Amino acid sequence: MSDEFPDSTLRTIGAGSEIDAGKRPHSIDGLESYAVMSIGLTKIFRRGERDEGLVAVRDVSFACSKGEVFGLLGPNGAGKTTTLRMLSTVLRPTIGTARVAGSDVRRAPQHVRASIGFLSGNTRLYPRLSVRETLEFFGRLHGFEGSELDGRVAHVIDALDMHEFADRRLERLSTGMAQKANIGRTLLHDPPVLVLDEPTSGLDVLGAAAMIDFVAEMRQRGKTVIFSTHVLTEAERLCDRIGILNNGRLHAVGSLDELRIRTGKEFLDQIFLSLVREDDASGGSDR
Amino acid sequence: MSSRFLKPTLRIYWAKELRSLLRDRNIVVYGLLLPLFLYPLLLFALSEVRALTAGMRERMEPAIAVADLPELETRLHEVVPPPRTFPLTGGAGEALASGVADLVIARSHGNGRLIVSHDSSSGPSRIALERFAPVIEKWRRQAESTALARATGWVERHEPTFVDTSEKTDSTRILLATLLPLILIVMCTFGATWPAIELTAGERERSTAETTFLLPLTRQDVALGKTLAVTSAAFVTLCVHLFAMLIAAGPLIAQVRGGTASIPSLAWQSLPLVLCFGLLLSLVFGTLFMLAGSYAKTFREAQAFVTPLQLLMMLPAILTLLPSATLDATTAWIPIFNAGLAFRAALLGDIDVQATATTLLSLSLCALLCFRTTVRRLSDTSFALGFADSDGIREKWS
Amino acid sequence: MSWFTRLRVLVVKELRDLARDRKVFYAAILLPALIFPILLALTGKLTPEGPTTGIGLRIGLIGHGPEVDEIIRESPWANWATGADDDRIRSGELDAALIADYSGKRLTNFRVLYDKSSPLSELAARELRGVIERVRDRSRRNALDATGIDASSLPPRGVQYHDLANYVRTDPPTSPQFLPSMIMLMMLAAAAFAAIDLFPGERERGTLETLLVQPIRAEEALLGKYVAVFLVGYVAVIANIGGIAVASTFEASPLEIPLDASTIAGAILLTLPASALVAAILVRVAARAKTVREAQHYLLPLTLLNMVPALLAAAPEMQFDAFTACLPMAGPALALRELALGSFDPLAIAMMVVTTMLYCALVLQGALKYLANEEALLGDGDSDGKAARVIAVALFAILATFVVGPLLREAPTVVSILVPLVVFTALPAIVAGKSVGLGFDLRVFGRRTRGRSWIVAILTGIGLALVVSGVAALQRHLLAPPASFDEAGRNLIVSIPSLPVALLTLAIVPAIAEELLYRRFVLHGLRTELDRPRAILASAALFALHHLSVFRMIPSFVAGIVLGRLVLRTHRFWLAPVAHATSNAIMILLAHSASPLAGGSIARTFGDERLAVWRLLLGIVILVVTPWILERRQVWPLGRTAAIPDRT
Repeated sequence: MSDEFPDSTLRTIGAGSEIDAGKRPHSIDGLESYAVMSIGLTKIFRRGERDEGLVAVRDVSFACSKGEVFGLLGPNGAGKTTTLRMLSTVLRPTIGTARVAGSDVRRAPQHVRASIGFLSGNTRLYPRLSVRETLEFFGRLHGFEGSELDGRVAHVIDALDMHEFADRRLERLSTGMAQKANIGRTLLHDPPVLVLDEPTSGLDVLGAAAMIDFVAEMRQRGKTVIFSTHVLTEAERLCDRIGILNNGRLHAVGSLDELRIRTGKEFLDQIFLSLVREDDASGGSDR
Repeated sequence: MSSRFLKPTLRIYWAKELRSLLRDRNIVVYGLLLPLFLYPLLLFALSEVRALTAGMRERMEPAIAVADLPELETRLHEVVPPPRTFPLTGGAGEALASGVADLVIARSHGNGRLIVSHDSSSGPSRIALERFAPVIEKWRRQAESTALARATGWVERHEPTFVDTSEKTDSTRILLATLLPLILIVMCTFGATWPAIELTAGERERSTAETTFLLPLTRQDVALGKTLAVTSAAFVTLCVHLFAMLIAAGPLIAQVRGGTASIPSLAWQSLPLVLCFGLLLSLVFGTLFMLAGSYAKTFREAQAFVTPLQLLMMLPAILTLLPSATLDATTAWIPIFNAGLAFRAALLGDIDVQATATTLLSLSLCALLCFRTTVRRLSDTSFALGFADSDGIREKWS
Repeated sequence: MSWFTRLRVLVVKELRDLARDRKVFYAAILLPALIFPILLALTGKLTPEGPTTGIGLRIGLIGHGPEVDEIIRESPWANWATGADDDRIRSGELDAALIADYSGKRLTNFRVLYDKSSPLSELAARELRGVIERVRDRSRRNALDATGIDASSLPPRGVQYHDLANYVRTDPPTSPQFLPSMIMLMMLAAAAFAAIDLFPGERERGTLETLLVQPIRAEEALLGKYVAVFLVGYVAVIANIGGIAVASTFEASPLEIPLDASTIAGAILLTLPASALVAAILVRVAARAKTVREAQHYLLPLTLLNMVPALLAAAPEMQFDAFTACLPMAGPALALRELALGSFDPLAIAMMVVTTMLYCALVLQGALKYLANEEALLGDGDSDGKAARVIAVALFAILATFVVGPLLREAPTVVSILVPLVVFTALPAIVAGKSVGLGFDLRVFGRRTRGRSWIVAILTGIGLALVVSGVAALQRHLLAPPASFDEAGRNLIVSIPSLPVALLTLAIVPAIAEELLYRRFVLHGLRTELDRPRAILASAALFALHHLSVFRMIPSFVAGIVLGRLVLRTHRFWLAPVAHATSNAIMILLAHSASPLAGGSIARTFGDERLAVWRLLLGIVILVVTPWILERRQVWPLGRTAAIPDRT
């Protein structure tokens, strides 16, 4: 099995021809300012040989520039997680592709993985390892060794203030502490792009607030952050631009102001509802 | 107690628990469907392996080196299929070690005995011994008798006869009566395990324990309902296994041993007694496992608590397989062990009233004890709210 | 960073993770190391050492004479009581009874009464038989010696058995037979813990996805886990062998093998390939499971499956040679057995190692393929279970046929054949058809059948008969059925004297019933989830199982493939029963005594083992050429040129 996945559909979209498989793709003129660019991402889950499949995400295209915070908004089951999983190469798109931090998710998934930090409700940490061991493990997988590894681990422990419990096993930590360790894991290799799937879900008020501060800080540091949420206030506070996803389709992309103009509504929740209802009314469900 | 059983709320709760247990795919598949498939499948595999090895055995042509015993050689050739015989040259050890012969028969010059050598590390040699040792023995006796008759005219007439007095010489019955207790007890523990964990730790993991305790029922009623549901599930499993074994075992044993198949002629009239023992056992296992499960926070932890207990319960059942294990005044007091023995006795129809009564008494006492402890534990606040610190237990264990 | 470094990092992490789970420690080290010492200590204590030291058997006695006195002297294990009757034995008051009939002073007969249903009574009877024979031997010998004939001209005095195997401490040696399978079982249990923890366990804990967003390849992640599972299992094997070595030093150890250092080292080396295979199978199975509970449920069937090779390896008939060494799991078990027995066959061992590693690689590749499907990996892909349902129905049909068969043995042959076919084969296929979307319309896969197709069907049947008889004859060289099996086959045909009835019950009805189940219901159900070759192979495997005998499995598997291909390629269901019936009918016509063909030169050619290869080749030629000639590549294209979508 190989991660390389030549597919004729790529050519029809016109994204694949310039990219050399296996190597870090050289930048395409005018595109290097984008940290993430999704081109017609589509995911169909098929159950069996003859199953027609369930379209989880259909033709999602957007781009976000370096240093931008991009929010994916949508109700449960809208396809947010699937989209982010495709961007982080956990899932392979059925059709379409995406470029993340300059690499193609189909052609060079390992490069993509090396340059993103992915955090979601499904990326938890090994309970029987201590925080330090966890960080060391992931650091090694990212190719750090010796003093460089020690330095990075120490730095992350320092930055997230985890000295107190750095040598305790994760199973004995509280949810908040474990979340810190998980953030530490995503930051260890200093990725230019962070992909966060509902980062605040399951956290209490304090934890969520810390998470939001964290995203804000990442923006200040010039990282690109893509995150999904169904909490509208978060999106309103943090996002430079917002994409609204419903029934697997991306309905609108733009800054809050642009969306206000488009829908004529003032607040994000109204904007969101009007876009979603518009979609439902047009019979947007493909399933 | 009886009035409590009639309380409609309790009945409703019991029915709800039982229904939700029977809707759990794991419990249905492993408690009910598996037994129906398991025994046929197992014995199918067994019979096929036996057919295969029988085919191989028939194709074997044992090589027997015989030193100067022409009459014996003739006799050996009368066996079907006949072996290959040849005169022994050199030592028996060499012939066997080189694989030339599977069996070496020679006469000792010292004491006049026949020396039959084989090599038990070789399969063909063991099979040859098994097949031909009776032939050799019989030949020797007959040769002696003939010699005696020639010399003295004394004809040895009597051959000892062996009379089987058992009423039905149905070997299926005996095999089944020996195996069934073990299988029933083991399967009953399996039948109790999942439901017991499901209704204790499982309920806590799914966070439905608090919902349950908010029902308009007393804590004791909830505990009672859970206990009854688990016991019923375990008992149903036991009955299914009993049924499956009775249906499947006869034909299957016939497949393996040859001969006609019939539903084994067990002592049907003692079936109520068997079911009674089964019910008591289900109660013991169900309550014990629930007790263990009630200290666990998660399903996996509960499994870790219950599995050793389950193995422990199986041990006495395995011991009932020993031929020297019989139900008497002493063994009838050992719970579970006595149930296994009483099962066997009941299935064979030789019921010793006193021992059976003792068994019933001992099992009932045991069940009552377990039942009381469990109901008390399940009515406890620490179980209801999940404050029970299983860490304490764990530390004690380790 | 090289892949090896990444693999090492992964393996170290997995092992550290596992080592901190106390359960793995119990399963991999404590239990395997202690089980044999404990078991042996227990069984040594519990099993009575023969009736001489153990329980006193109660024997009733009738009759009195010098022989009886001698028997009493010879049996210190017995408690004698006077008088005996059947009831006292049946009630268990007496274990057995000895009745000596004397006429005058002369003993005329010994009778032993016992109850076969009681193990104790059987034991008593066995002991009595030994004593009686001893006493009789002695008296006979004394009489002979008294005649003064030269001892060398007399028959031998007795029989002495010598076991010349060099390792034997006591007789008979059973441990080499059961030890290998026990070791494998321990290995399975320990590695299963690890496999379950590392696949569904991680999935439940949500750590699998964390690993997958790291810059590593999926095969590296899989291999890292596989190596960890293998190491845990192998540690269990070593602990287990260590435990056996300790147990073999016990005073009352029933182990006959003295374990020296070289045997132990050999055992540790020989179990390596088997451990690798078991770990691969476990990884493959565990990767499927979404939850820990589900994975645990897969373990029971696996353990049962493991029993078959274990049983085979325990049979003394099984010899360890270059052929048996290739059997999966049985080969390694046999190798271990031979090691314990002190023999050494380098070729067979080499074959065992090579084939086992090959199976291991195949299984791992399958696991890799499965994990390449990321939905499966994340536990999102969920099948609607049509394939599982279909397999369950087929298994039901197979087992019901198996169970009912002996119950109908007394019934007339026609009944005993037709009842399972109609009730347990055709009926479930039709009734359960709805659950996979088949109606009662029997034309499924059904395009209209044209005249030419019938010719294809009949020619396929002829080809099938040739292929099946060829395969069956060739198979006899490897798997020889016992004589009773061949006889049963002959009797089946002979027991139906009328040829038309025989054709109906043995050719036409079985063809329709079995095809309804396997080529209509099963194949259709499997096609919803599997691709064409896999669906055909799986349905053929079930069809082979339906024939309920190892000796019929390979030919019927081949037949299943041919018929499955026929149906899926032509999209016409009814061709399969026709081909099947034709094939069966040819066999019956050649064998049935009322048939004009029986005994003729054609029948002799068909039965000739030397011509098996030619029959096989001719059959293959017919099967390949038929559709090509008749349909000019329209009905049954050899390539995949005419990709006609299946009707659903």
